[in-house]
Amino acid sequence: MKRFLAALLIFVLFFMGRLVFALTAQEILDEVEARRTQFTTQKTVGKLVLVDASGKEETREMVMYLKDEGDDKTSVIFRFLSPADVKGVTLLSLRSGEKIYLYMPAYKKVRLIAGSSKSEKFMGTDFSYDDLSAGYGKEDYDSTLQGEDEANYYLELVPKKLDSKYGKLVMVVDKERFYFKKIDFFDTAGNLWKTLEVHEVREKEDGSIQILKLSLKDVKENHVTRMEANSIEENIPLPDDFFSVRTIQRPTL
Amino acid sequence: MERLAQWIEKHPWPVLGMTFFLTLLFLWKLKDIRFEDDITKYLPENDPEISFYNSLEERFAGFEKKSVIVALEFDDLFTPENLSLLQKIVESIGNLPTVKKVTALTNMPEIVATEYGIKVQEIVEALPKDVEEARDLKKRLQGNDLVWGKIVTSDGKGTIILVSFFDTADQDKAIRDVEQVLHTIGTQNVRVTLFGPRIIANEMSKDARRNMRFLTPIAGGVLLGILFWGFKNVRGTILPIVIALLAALWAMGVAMFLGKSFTVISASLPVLLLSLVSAYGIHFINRYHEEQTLLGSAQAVERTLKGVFLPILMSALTTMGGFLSLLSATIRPVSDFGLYAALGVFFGMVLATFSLGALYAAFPVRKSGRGRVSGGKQGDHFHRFLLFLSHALLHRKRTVLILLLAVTLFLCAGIPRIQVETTIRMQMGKEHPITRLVEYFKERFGSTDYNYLWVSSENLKEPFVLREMVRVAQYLKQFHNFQEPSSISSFLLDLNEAMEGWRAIPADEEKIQNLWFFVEDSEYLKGRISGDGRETLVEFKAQETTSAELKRELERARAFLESRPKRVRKVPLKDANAQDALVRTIVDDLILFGVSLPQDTLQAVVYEFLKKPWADFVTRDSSFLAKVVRDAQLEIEDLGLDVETVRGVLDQALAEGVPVERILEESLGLDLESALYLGEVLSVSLERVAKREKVEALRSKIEELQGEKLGRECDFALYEILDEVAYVEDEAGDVTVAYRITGTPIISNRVNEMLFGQQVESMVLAFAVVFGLLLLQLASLRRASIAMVPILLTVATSFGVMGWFGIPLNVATLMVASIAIGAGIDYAIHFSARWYKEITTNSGSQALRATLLNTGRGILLNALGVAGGLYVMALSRIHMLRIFGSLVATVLLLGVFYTFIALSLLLHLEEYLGNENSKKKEVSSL
Repeated sequence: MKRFLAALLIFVLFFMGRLVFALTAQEILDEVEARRTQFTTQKTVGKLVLVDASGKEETREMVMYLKDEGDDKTSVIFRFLSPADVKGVTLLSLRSGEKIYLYMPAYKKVRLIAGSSKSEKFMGTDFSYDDLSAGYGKEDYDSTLQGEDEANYYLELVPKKLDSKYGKLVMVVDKERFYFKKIDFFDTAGNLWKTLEVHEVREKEDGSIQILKLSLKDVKENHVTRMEANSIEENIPLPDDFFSVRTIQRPTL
Repeated sequence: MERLAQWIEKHPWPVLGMTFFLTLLFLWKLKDIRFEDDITKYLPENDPEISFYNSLEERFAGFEKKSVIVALEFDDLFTPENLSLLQKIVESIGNLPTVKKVTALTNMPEIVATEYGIKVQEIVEALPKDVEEARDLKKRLQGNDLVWGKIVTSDGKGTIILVSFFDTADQDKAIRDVEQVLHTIGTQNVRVTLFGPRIIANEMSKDARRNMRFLTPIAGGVLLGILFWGFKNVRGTILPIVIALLAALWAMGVAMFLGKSFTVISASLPVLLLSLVSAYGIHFINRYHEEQTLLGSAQAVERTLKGVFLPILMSALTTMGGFLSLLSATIRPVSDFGLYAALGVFFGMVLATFSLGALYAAFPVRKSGRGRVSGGKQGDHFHRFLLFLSHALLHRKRTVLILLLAVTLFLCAGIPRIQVETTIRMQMGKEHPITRLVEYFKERFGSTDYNYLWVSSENLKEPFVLREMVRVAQYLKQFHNFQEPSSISSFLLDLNEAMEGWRAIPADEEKIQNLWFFVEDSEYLKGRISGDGRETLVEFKAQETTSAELKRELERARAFLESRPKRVRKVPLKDANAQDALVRTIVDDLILFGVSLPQDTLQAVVYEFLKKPWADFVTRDSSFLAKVVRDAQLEIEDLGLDVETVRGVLDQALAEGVPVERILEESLGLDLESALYLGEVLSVSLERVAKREKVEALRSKIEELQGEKLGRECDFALYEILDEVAYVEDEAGDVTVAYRITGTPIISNRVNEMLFGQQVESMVLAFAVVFGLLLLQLASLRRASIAMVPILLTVATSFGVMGWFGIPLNVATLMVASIAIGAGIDYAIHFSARWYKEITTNSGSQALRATLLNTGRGILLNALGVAGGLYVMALSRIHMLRIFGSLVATVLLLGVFYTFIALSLLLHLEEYLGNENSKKKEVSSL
């Protein structure tokens, strides 16, 4: 009898402990956000590899500048460096896509891109303009923890916006370093649409995580876009008016 | 044969067992029967047109053969409730896992040039909340040529949803899913119609099955009635029909084992075989009762088999010869039908001899004279008619001959009136649901069929290639089969308008490359470019036309494509002759886009403007300056400046002839870097606006000379005046372009082109086979030639019948001549055989009368039975089959006519000339 009571006590304590110490989905997301590399400005030089349904690859070199505008808003300048036919084409996204401008060097002209094109694919990649500027905060998603194993947490995120093109996201979060390893994007009918996978990260001294390689696969179209960062510089000094129409018209950034 | 007959007599059960087993096997296999009536599968896959068309699916992701169109008809589409319902349907269909893309009014994108840039928006950005907003939306859409009358019906009540499925989707299931969505959402007050190649194919399959299920028993009943009327015997008429049905079943079973599919035409097989094969059974039973009366049941089967096997085999071989000649046709429904029918005839022959022999051996009939099939009454209508005929042939030869010639000449006069026609209306009939479906879509939404211009080039981004696409599309637009072109070029025209303010393809390849980004963002456009980026498609809506018109349009289209330069060289305008080349191009393009001035006048005007530099069009006019600052508005406002202020600065700079940067720095206090930046921006805008002014001046000049306004589409040609290069046709040029036209209407035309040629080919082959068999049987070249005459006349006049009755040549009627030869030659064989037998013991007159009254009676009854069965096809819902059945039946009756009249006269003449020769020989020997 004593043995039974002891076993019961251990059992109860174990599960109570699990309940007491287990993280909620929101806490996991908060931790992911906290472990994201923090910066005010960032410059990334790397490449985009576009893989079509037949497996044909097309590589484009690019440079990207980011600025944390606060309130979860980010401004981005994205310029293609090669190949020759896309060289110089530059995109400016202000405050997470509130305004998006495109500079076309051949026309020597900047144009504002408006309307539903934001949800269209970004320059032939599998990312939409929205995808590029999206975060996974509690403002935008209701999250639940679906399960966990030795290595990962499994979360389900449901967009709060009724007009979202996604029905839900299933996110796999690394238990040790708190970054999302994989996100499956499902359409509103529950069919898998896109899969984002992080292939390589760098853990900085302060414990924050920099993503170096990731891929996004459009499952429906069977297209893949891989992003690889060759160099990442953070908190670089940039003029106040750097994220402007004027900047993206410069031959060199 | 004798040993086989003996074996069957002694061992009927294995034969019956095998017959039973095969019947069960083929019946079981019949569950796999599938119907496929896709015109792109009419021709073999190695046919150049087909293989090219099919290869498009592999090369172009956007070449979606798996798709369906959903038409919705509301009392009024433009109410908030109905638009909301439409959006709900579109979203629900879009969420189906098999659906790749849904395009409808509620999610169609459009590119709009705005003050600041490009707006890619949905045509219906937000659903109207009230009646007024819905009315406003309707009003706005009425001005949109791409939507009104195409996506939305011109009365504003109907709309269509275009659904394309993933390549991996099971299309039938995908369509069922769409139907389920429509059912679940509840569209009680909405008329829903689905349309697409698969819908049509499925509808045709249903009809083909219906034909088999309903027409076969009716044809059997008719044949039974006619045979019983003629022969007055129940058992003897039922068994031949059962044999014929089994033959059809076996033929279809073998086709299933061969993995073949059926078409609408082959669905008529049971009816046709019922008519053709039943004669074999009749021959057997007739002979059996003859032998049984003489020898008793024990030896009757063996004697019957020995007696009828060869005639039935010869008859089957001639009929099969006719059908097998169709195998030479490359049009799949025709060659397949030839194969199935030949197999059916062969099985009919086997069943009517071996299986019937085994049946009679296993279940002998008690000896009685009642079993004879060809009983009938001596004084019945047939007898009286044949007696009258023999009398006329013997005593009114001249009248009969005149009648024969008159009928033949009259019918042959119809031959030149034959048309080739494969339109849906002609094939299915105007009342058929498929025709109504096609015509409903045609009337409400324009056409739903597409033709494509395939364009190939080493570099698709080359402005010359893109411009050629616009030119060719502009030319082809005049044809019904090439309406509403859409291509990368049309998209680039829109984009360039948004970027520069004019609808033209820039001559600068870098600009094209910049615009290409938007092409890559669009799934639709990416789908129109091949994987290697060297091929693209211009898509045209094809309105249904007659086959003749389609052919004419295609000939002209191909001639135009042939006339286009295929290899050119880009030369700077300063090179010798480059200006002339550019002027010629502009003038040709202006004429192509509808400018009606004489070529010389146009040439002079274009030269005049080509020589003027754009700088000549820079003015201090306020509207000019306003245009410049508006062009640079984004940059000006980004610097925190006011456009009006900058306009003043620009005016001052132009007036004083000083750099604008200096005034910007001095008057507006900009730092040097900002002043230089804005100065550069303004100078780019100034050049752009001045160039636009130059072209507008050219437009005004032409309009003044022509006395009427030029359409917006003329921008394409007018803005070529700004080019700094010309394209010169050059064998060694590095810019290449190649074209090809394809699409289902084109394949339809290809089928048409082949119909005539293959008709002749299969007919000649049928004649050759039949003549060879006649030679074998009659063992005389003269006799075989005489026996061929009625069938030659039958075939010739059958074309006349088609011409006079306006029956077009199509995949079904193409086969009539071959069938007529195969089936009709039996009459000539039987008739000749009996004649030559009779003439050995009787005079010519007696022989003719005996032949007509005996063999003639059998022929007449058989022909009436066959024709009666075939006329049942007139009950089919499919026009093509109605015509096919009636035509074959009529042609077989014509065969009887020519056998009775022409063959009788010729045989009598042969006998008369033979007698004359004998007399001469006798006289000379005396």
